[in-house]
Amino acid sequence: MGLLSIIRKLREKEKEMRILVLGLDNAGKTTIMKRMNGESIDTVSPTLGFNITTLDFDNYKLNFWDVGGQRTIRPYWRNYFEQTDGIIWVVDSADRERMADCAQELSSLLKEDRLAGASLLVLANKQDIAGALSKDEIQRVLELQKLTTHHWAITACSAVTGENLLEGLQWLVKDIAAHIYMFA
Amino acid sequence: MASSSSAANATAAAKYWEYFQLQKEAITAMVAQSQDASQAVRELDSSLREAYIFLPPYDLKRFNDDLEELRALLQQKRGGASKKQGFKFKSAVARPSNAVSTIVNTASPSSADLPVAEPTYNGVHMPPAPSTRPSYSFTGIDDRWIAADPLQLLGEDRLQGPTDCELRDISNSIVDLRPISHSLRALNCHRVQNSVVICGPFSGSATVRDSAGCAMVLGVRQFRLENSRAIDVYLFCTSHPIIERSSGVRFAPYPLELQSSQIQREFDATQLSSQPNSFDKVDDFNWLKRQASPNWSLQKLLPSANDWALLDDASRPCTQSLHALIKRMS
Repeated sequence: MGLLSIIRKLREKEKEMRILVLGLDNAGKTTIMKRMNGESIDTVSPTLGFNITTLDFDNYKLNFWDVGGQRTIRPYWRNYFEQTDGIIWVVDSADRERMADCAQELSSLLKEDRLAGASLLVLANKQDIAGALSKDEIQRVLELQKLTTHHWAITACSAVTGENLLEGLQWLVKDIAAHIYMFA
Repeated sequence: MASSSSAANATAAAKYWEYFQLQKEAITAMVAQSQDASQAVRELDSSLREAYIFLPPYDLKRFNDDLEELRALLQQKRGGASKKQGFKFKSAVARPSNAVSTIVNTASPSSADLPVAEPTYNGVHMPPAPSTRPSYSFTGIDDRWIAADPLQLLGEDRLQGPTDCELRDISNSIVDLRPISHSLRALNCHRVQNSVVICGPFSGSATVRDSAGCAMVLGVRQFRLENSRAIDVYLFCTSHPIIERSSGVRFAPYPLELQSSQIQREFDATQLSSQPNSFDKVDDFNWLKRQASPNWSLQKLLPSANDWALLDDASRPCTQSLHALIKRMS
């Protein structure tokens, strides 16, 4: 987030935030978006491309960019980095086999200059599954405590039950607001 | 702030990205046709080094990873011929085929006797999840007939709420998950070769990776297939199934022959059947043209009722049932 974009944001009447929703395939990104938007989650197909969802939340207008996570289309993530205020990184907590993959993708993502300054919310999704890893275990695998370049938080949640989704979002919006709209 | 040089860099990076994708596709195609692609990979490598000055770090990392993947592919192709010969003695350990009770119910997850390689990530030691969390796991199985037992969980043996099941490194086997499918919410299969996996309906997603020569019966909300070939999928799916980096995949609906009253009750309980079956609305992530993808088709010649009945007769040697259900096994 450069100085110029902060000034631009300040001028805008409407307080908008651009939030990028990323993660490996089958993490539950689209299901989370549908759940937050109050839509049915029964027929969510794996995302071929991206979805945009707009939510009004705490007087802010949130624009979510939910980009497909299949391996073939991960190279296209780079096209969505510009002007991002917040990143939601969704983790399939029950997919133990690919936790290392997940950690690697996240760490290479956070090296990206265009995402510098964006707040990071990690959602440890699928906590409704008894075999899921806990929030603390995921925090350790993703090495979040070593992360100094971004504000971050991790929340254990479930898109199926809706548990803790709003709590996570609340943190993200508050954190973004604190460093973008500090003069507003 | 946006100087003209950074704008020029962005354009150059975008251009290079297009060039790289084209080259990558070409090399993959060459490898698939067993042509020598090493020269092309070397050229791509040197072009990447020239592009270092204008590429943003994230892209650079991406390209390097891709290049590494291409090299691995090349290496694999070269090593492939000599590897095969070392792989042939599996028939030598074939068990006596007239053993009456072929149901192997050990299901292997009795955690203690299996030396599960504990994963470490970036040097950080991860406690293996099974120690505390109940989930089903079947790994390292060859030439067995497995019927999952609801009680044989990793971790605690009492199960509260739904859990997940993992199949890893399974070959020449029949894995029947019907006894546990009602308590599943996720199924992940890795490296399953020449096997039949049969599962009742559950309200969750199934993923199959790095597998070949299998027949799979599944009733799920989402189905994903990655990096696999020659898979027959008998599917009830409420969303579009997807395939990625896969070929020779055939889709058919969940077989009527297997819809016992128990399975039908489970279909009702999961409410899957309140949605239409989209087993034939497949998206191929590697085929974005309008014409039909060559990587998958609908299966025309379905197994007969007799073939499916083999799955209820665990007294047969499993090779016989495998032959009947994986028709194109060569």
